[in-house]
Amino acid sequence: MSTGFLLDRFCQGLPVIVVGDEWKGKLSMNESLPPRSVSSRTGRTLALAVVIFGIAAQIAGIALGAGGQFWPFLRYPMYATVGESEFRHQELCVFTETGSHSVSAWDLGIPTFRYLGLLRGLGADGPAGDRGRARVALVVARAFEPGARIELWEAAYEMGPEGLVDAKPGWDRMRVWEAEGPDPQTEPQASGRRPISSRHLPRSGQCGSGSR
Amino acid sequence: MTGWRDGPRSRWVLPACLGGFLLVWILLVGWIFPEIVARAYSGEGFERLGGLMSGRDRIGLDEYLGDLATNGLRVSLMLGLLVLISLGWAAKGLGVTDPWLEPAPVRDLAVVRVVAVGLQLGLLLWPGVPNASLSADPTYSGFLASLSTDAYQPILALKILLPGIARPGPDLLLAIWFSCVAGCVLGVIGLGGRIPLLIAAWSTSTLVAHAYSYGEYHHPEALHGVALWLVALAPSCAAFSIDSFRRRTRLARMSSGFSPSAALRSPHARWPLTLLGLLFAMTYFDAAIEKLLIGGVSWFGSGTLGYHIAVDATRWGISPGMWLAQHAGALGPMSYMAWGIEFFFPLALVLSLAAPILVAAAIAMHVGIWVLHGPPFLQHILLVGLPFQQQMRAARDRWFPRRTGLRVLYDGHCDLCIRSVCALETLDVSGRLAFVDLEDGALAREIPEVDRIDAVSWMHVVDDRGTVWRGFFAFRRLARGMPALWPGLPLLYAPLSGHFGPRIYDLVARRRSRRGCRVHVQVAGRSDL
Repeated sequence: MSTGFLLDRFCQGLPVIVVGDEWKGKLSMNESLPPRSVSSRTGRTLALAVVIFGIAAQIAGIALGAGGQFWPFLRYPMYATVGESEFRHQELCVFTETGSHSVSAWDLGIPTFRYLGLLRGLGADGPAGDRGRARVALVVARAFEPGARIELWEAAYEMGPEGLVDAKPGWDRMRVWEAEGPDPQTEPQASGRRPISSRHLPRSGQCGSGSR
Repeated sequence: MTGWRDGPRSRWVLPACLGGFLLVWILLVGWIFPEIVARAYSGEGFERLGGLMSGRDRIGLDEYLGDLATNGLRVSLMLGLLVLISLGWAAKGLGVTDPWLEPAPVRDLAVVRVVAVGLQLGLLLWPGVPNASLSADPTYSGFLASLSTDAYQPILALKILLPGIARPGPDLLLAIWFSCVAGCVLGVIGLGGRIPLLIAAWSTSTLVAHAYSYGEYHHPEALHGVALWLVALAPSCAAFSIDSFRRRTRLARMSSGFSPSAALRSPHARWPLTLLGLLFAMTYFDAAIEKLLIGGVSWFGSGTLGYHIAVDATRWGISPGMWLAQHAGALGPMSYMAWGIEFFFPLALVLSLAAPILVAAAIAMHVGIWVLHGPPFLQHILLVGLPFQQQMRAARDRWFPRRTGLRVLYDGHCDLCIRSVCALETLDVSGRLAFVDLEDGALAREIPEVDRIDAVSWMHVVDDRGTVWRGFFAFRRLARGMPALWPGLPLLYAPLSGHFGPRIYDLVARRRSRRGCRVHVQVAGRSDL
C-alpha cells in the first residue's frame, strides 16, 4: 500500500482504513477500493487510538482542567455553587466634561470575565482595592480624559423564600476617585474608545441617571 | 451481534479490564499518591513534584491532599461511568469493538459534518448570535490581540496549533478567520475532501484557544471543536457532499448503473459518532457530579436555581429570568430535573429508547438556560442529538410510523438522468426518496399506471398515496418533500407558476436531449434527439 495512495484517499475524504475479513458482507462501500487495501489491524489501531486519546484527554481535562488550560477538554462546574441570600452587581461610570459613560471591558482593555472580577474588587478596602482603583484610574485617563471622575456603583439584590425580592433595587455609589495622568512607562495598554457591541456588556445602564 | 474476535465471553473483557483499572486507580489515589505528595511537601522524594508545590509556605498539606482526593474522586467516577457503559454494551451483546467499528450509515456522519461546520460558518459570519462564540468574532479577536502582554497566557492547545508564534497579532488572526470561513464554506458543501475540513478545524480551534489564552472560557465551544476535528478525520464527505455526488456520478457512468447510497455504511462512520456521544455523556455527567462535589446536597435547595437565574438575569437584563427568579417556588423540582438530565444522560449510549428522550430533555434544558440565564449553549443544542441519529430514527419508526415517501422514476441508461438522481440523493437529507430504474422490469409490476415511454420523456414521481406527478409538478412535489429544496418553494408555488413552470421544464427537457440522453424525448408533441 503506497503512502501516496493513502494520502490521496485521505485528502479526498474517503476511508483510508479498510476493515478485515470479519466485516465482509457488512461493508457495502461502493467506493472502488483496490484489493491491495490497508491492513485492517493498522486501521483499527488508528481509529481506536483516536478514541482512546479522546476519552483519556476528557478524563484528564475533568480532573485537572480547571481554568480551561486543557481546552477543548474541560471540567464542567457550571452553576455548581449553592445559592446565597444576596448578591451584588457593580458598574463603573466615568464623568467627563462631555457627559457620563458606562465603562466597558473594551474601554479598559480587559477580557469580559476579568473585567467582572475587577469590578467586584474595586469596592474593597485595603491594598488590593487600592491597586485596582489605581489601575483603573490610569486606564480611564487614557481611554477618556485625565481628571475624569470615576464612580463605582453597586446594587444589592436580596433572595427571599420566594426568590428574588426586587429585580430593580436602588444603586449606591460606593467609591469616587479621579483618573490620573498616565505614566508612559508604567501605564497598562488600554484599547481606547472602540465601537462597543452591547452584547459584551452588562445591562444595568446606571450611568448617566444621576447620583443617588 | 459480535464483531472482531468477539465471542460470547470476550465481550466482557473490556468491562473487566476497566473495572480492574478502576480498582488500581482507587488504590493509587487512596493510599499511594497521598504518601508521595506528603513526602514531596516535606521536601523529600520527587523534586519535580515538590517544585510544583510553589505555595507550600502558605498552603497547608491538607489542602494539597484535599485537591488530590477530589480530583481522584472525579477520575474514579469517570472510570466508573466507563465501566457501567461498557457493561451495558456487553449486556446488549455488543463485542469490544462493535460500538466503535461496526459499520454505520455514512449519511449520519455527513449530517454531523454539515451541522457542525455549518454552525461554525454561521458563527463566523453572523457573530450577532448573542455571545454564542466570542472567539468567532474577528473584532473581538482583534481586541484581545491589542491587550497588554500580561493579559496573555497561552494555553497548551494554542502552543500546539501555532508552534513558534509567541503571540498572534491582529493580522494573523484575521487571516486565520478568513481561512476558517473558506474551510467552512467548502466543508459544508463537501468540496475538496478533508483538506478544507482540516483547515476549518484547525482555524476554529486556534481562534478559540487564542481567546482562552486571555481568560475567555466558554464551555459550549469545546465539544463543537472536537466535533470539527472528528468530521475532518473521518470520511464525512462520503454523503451529502459535492465530492460524493461527483464520485457517485462517475462510478454510475463507469458501471452503467445507479445504486442508491442509502445503505452505504462504513466502520469509520461509527467511531466518531460514538466518541462524540460518549464525550457529551461524560461532560453532562461531570456537570452533575460537580454539583455534588461543590454544592453537595444543599445544591438541591429551592433557592439555588433561582439564585443562579437571578444573578445572570439581572446582570444581562433578561426579563423572563427576572420574572421567574421572583417566583422561585417552582424551581425546586427543576433543580432535580436539571441534575437528573445531566446525571442520567449517559444512558442514551446504552438504552436506545432512552436516547431520544434524553436528547430532547438536554435540548430543552439548554434552551431554558439560554432564555432564562443568557448563556447560549447553541452548539450543544444543535450537536447533542447527532451522535444518536440511529436511535432516534428507530424511536421515530416505532412511535410514529412513516409512510413510504416518494418514488422517483429515472432512466438508468441516461447519463443526465443518473446525474440528476445522484444530485437528488445528495440533497435528500431526510431519506424520503426511493429510486426506481425504468430499465428495471419491476416498474410495470409495481407502478402499472406509469407508461415507460412517458416516464423517459418527463420526470415522474409517485407519492405514498400512489398519486403520479409528472414533469414540473413532479419536481415541485419533490421540492415539497425535501428540506434542502424548501428555500425554492416560494418560487415554485408563486402565482402563475403552474402556467410557466411546465413550459420552462419542457425547455430544459428539450436541451437535455441534446446533452447526451440516448433516448428520443417526446416533449409537447415533438420529437427531439
